[in-house]
Amino acid sequence: MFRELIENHALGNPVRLSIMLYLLPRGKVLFRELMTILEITPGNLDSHLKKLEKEGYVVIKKIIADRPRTVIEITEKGAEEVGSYLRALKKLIENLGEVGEK
Amino acid sequence: MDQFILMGENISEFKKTLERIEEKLISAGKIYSAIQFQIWLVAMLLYYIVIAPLDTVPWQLTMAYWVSAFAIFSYSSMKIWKRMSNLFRSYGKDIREKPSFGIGIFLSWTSGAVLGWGFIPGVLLKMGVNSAHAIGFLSFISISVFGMFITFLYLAESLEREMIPAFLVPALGILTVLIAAPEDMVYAGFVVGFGFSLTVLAYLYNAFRALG
Repeated sequence: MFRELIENHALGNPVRLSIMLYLLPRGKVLFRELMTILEITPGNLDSHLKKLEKEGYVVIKKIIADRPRTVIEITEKGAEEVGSYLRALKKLIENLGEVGEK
Repeated sequence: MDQFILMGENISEFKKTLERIEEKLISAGKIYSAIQFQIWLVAMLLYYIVIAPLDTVPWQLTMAYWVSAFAIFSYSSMKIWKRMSNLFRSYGKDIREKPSFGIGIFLSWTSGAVLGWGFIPGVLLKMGVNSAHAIGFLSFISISVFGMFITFLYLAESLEREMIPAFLVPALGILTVLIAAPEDMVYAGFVVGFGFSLTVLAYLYNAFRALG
């Protein structure tokens, strides 16, 4: 179960999980803002966002205000998935705790 | 042995991190609810500022103001609601998939409006137009917010204790509205404002409390 949660899941990567957790209460954020918060390069962030977009967890939109900007928006599927992922992690930790106590 | 201790420490640290995340999400939900009530307060208080210099308030002004206020409120509510429903979804409660939830909210406000702006003032007209409207206004708010409270409780399985002042204070205000005659409509506005302020305060307090 642990291997499944960490290795095979799109949210198993700490950067992608951080992106989703930052997005969840905010709904949408600018690419630049995410880059500053996570302290990663544009290329690195882009590759993680593409992965999340492929899974249907986020939508990447280009908008033109005073200058072109990229907005990342969480989807309903993404919100549901990050919630169930956190619950699965919590359950796993509780089980590990019980094993540790025994 | 050391390995087991290290594992135990890591687990408890990880558990704490997960708990902090959960607390932040709960806190965000409470802040969004506070914003919803605060928008109502802003709209209501601005109305009093707009009508203050006028000797008589033309019904066209009241109508235009509240139609615009409802439009702005509905738009901002939709935006906030989208974020709140994502938070609810992350808790494992998919309230958007329950059409009865939306119907519940809609019925709360429509029944509040019909009773508060139509039926109740009509029945109480003998008391004077101002008093009848003041009681109608307080009834509209208390019925509508109580309806929302019940909808959240039964259809979203969420006991929103913070909402209680927003319907209880206006309901209690009905009993005391006549002491403020002839300014009973202004009094009713302050009663609703006070109730909503308590609700905003409760949501903010609980948001910070959730953060620990």
